[in-house]
Amino acid sequence: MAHSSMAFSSVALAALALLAAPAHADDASAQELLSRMSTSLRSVDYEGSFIYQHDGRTDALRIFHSGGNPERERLISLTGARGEVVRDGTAIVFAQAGGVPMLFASRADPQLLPLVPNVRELGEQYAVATAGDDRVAGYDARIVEISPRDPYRYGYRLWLQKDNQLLLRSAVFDAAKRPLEQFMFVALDVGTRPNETDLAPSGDVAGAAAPADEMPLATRPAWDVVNLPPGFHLVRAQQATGAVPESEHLVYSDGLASVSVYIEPHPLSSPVAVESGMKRGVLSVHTVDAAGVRVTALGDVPPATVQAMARGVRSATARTD
Amino acid sequence: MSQPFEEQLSAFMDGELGRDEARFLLRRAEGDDALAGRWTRYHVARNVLRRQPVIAIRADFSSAILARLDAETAADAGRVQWLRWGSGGAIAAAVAVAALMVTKPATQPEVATPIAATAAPQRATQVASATPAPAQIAAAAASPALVPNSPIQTQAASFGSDLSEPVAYDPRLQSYVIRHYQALGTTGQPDFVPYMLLAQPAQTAERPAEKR
Repeated sequence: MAHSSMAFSSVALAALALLAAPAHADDASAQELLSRMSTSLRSVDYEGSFIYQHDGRTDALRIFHSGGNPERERLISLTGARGEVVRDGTAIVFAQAGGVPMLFASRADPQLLPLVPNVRELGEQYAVATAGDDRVAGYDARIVEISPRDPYRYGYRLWLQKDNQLLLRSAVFDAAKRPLEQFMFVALDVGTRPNETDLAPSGDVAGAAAPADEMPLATRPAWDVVNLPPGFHLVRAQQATGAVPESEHLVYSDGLASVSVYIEPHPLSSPVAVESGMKRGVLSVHTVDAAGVRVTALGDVPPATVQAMARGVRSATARTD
Repeated sequence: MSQPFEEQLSAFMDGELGRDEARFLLRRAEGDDALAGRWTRYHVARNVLRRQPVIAIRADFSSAILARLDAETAADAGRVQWLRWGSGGAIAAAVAVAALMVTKPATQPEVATPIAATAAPQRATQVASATPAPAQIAAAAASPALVPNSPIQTQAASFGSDLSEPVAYDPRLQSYVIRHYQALGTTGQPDFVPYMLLAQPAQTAERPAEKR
């Protein structure tokens, strides 16, 4: 009986292993595709037009991308207000018709295509799998899904070109698989290096203004967030130059989604607690103003996530006492 | 441009210039490209120093502000004095609204989906003191249970159907958004700031806070 039971267990385990193997292989394949996607986005020369659906509107944009080092690209709006974004390595200039150009000095991995997930450290909060084939902008594509395992974050559905895993289409969806935003190339020329004129700003950007930087906190944060949604952890603590003491900007991440929590003491406080929320596309914002401290949590996550984090702010000093 | 004009421009931006002086300055700016350029540079410098977003200003900004000042003057004539803003404040507000309005894209009106403050969290609502202190908010805030996908009432709110309507903007929130995405760049995550500005120029709006 014991032998028979052991034999049954062995068979069951073998069956489970067989059942599990394709899933693991699929995950590995999907992860590999995502890894190649990141490389392609930086190394491949391409130019094309894409549509971007967000907030109930549709924008059309054109992008020129020159791979290599330094990576260069230029994004132009084809609908609505005239505007363009030009990137040369880590320097980014945003210019809009009739406006003052703005200069951004990004420290790492700037990317002008929207809805491109950072796939370097997908944690346990997401499942990754391939999800069939499709055709986008005339190219055969493999679909990869990054699905959230709980309602505290959004997922991605990515269409990658079969030959070089270039991102052809991306959609963000919630835990119920409802689409929130998406972009899709409608015309794409891969492998052709853009002309210099296509990569250069169309106007004079010599007088571009640069927003001030924040500095990392020199000491432990004065604030903490309790009851964090699963998987989120503190990745950065900053403070605006010249900000009042105890004014902090804490950044939490689950490896893919990130939430900023701003804590700002202020003297003109309402006598009663005030709480409000806002959602705009994939961006959610929640503010709690109480006891002379205004807490604002925001990020590309569901409203429940920023709400929980805004309400969870506590004094770090009080917690260690 | 003479020194007095620079001082006037600075005072104007701070809302400290009298209504008549402001009109004179704006009339001059209408036909003076150098003055308009100086205004733009001051505007950028001030906003950067204050960590507020840099907002595009169109060339005919002075005409827009003058139009608003004229409208306010006409409206003020029939109001009781205590309802008026101080003249400087009104001018500053007109400048701000005009600057924000020009950033509205030439597309159909935007619709935001503000979230009603739902399920009043278990927090003390009365605050004894306005003095900022971490311990106070720590004491005031309980630990509400996390309830993902809890019913959330949403309500559409139009930003206004044309450029003549003021739009509810929150520069602080806009600054938060920019700083958020810049911080992501430092954590190895994609940096979408410029793209967001391009796709959604200064569109961030926040529903008026609800008091409980």
